[in-house]
Amino acid sequence: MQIAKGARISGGERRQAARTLAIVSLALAALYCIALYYPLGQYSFYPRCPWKLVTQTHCPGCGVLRGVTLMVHGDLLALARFNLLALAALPCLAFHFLSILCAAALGYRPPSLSLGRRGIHALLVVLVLYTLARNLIPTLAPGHYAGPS
Amino acid sequence: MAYCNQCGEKIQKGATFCDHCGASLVDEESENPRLYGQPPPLPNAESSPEPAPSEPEEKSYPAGHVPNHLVKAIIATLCCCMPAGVAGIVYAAQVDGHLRSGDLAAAQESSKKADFWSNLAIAGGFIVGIFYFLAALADQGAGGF
Repeated sequence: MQIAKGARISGGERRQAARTLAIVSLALAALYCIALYYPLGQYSFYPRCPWKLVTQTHCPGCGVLRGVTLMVHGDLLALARFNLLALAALPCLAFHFLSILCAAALGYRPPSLSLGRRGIHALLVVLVLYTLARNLIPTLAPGHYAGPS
Repeated sequence: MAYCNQCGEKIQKGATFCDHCGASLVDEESENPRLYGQPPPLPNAESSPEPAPSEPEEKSYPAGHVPNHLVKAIIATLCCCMPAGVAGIVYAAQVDGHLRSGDLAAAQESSKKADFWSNLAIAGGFIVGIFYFLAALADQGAGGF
């Protein structure tokens, strides 16, 4: 684990960042509108987790859809009930989004935390342990909610 | 006239980076511009000396030199519920491992694979989403008015 230093980036990398920013922003805006105007539980087009359909167990991502769509409707703690791992990932994702914004707008990539090989392997172990835990410990399972997973 | 051997655009004489794609035009071992049909330029008093990377064989590249697509792989794993996302995370770890040992080519190879598996997971999630959307539409059609 180490800190990757900030650096000025080339024009090509900057265009790449701008493209990523555009795609991510459009997708986020579209998903926000869908979640806002078509609340989960009233519409049946929301996808169910294929892993859960096949194995009848919770996957590490189960509960993200419910948590995030409820957050859109003002229930800011919903993700804590439905997926703790996604709640932990949220600030990291927000930071990453801001770095891409900075790279695209200023041509400067801010410093970031680089996990390294061991760090990423540790992350995989956490992912597996979390999956086991939420299937074995009822309080860690995605919150009880009559709706899609 | 010289051309970049990454993207093929024309480049200015003596440039160390391509204006178009940003590729380095300086060969790490010889420090000569990698140009087609261009003799090595004479030492120019005006150009500031580029810091020469010492011992390129044993150089360990800094983290972030090659994108490991870790964030994309994690989003793919959490949102698309696909084992392909986990494959993306495994390859992301390989990118950083190869960079640490200085194997740039292997790192780029793993970077491509991490990107591919994450994209596959996201595409898979998209297809499942479209399937449910169509199923919901068909349900409404069958259910009457």
